[in-house]
Amino acid sequence: MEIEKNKTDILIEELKKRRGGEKIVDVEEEQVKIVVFSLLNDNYAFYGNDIKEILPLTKIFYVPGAPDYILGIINVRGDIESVININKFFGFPDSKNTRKSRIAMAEKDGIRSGILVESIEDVFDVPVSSIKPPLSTLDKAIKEFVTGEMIYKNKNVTFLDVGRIFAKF
Amino acid sequence: MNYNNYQELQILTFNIGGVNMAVDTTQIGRMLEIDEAVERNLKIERLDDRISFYDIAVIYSAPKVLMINDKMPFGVVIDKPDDIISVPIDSLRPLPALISDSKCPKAIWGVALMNDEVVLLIDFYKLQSAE
Repeated sequence: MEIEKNKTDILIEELKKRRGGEKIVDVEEEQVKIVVFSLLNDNYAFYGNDIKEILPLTKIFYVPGAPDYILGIINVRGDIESVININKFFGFPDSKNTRKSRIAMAEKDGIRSGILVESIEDVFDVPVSSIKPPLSTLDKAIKEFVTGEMIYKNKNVTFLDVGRIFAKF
Repeated sequence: MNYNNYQELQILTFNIGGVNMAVDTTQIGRMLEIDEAVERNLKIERLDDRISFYDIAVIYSAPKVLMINDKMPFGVVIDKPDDIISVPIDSLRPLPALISDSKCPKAIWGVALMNDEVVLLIDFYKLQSAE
């Protein structure tokens, strides 16, 4: 004998069905990984896709005759890589090397090089929409290398394009 | 002769301005004292006149003149010649692209990895076209 469903059972069943049908669909916003670093009290970022690894400051071997914004070469597990002095590249004053100094190993379009930065502040994912076009009032020295800006911890972060930096060599 | 014929490279190591460098010994005719080269009226040039160290003051403390195998009209002054050693070809590396593609003198043609040290390999034949 079939047990007759009472009104509340029927209502609950109906509500469950509706709930199932009205599942909230999370619209996943496109994210991008970024590597935030500091330079002379300002924050800059590279796109995470362009940074293959982050190395502690190691012995850099000077190469005479190389452009003056190349600090020299380093031995990375048997591979020889160049290291860019990003301060000098942009025409900024030099930063002091400290325990926080890092070499960001960047790779773009088949070209690979380390970039010496004062410190790595953070590595995280952000929605693409949070990156805004660069300000037109940017410093001329870096303008051509900047692809966007965003606010991070109440400070402005300037996005640098590794490919554009490499293309200058 | 192709690359496979080379198993190792015999190099003379030296140091200029704190930078470890080396040259293939087959490029060297002989090594002279500076005085001897001057007495013979040979044309000599410091290596750092050919490959710029920019604002680094290069001081030679134990200079020698390397006369190159007949192919060059001058001797090259190097500092602190250290040793003649054989390095396996496997321990040689090209310069990174950002340096080799730049205006860096082509006379620096590669790098030899020696323990934890990096030695720049200089092609003396290409020094003539260096800056």
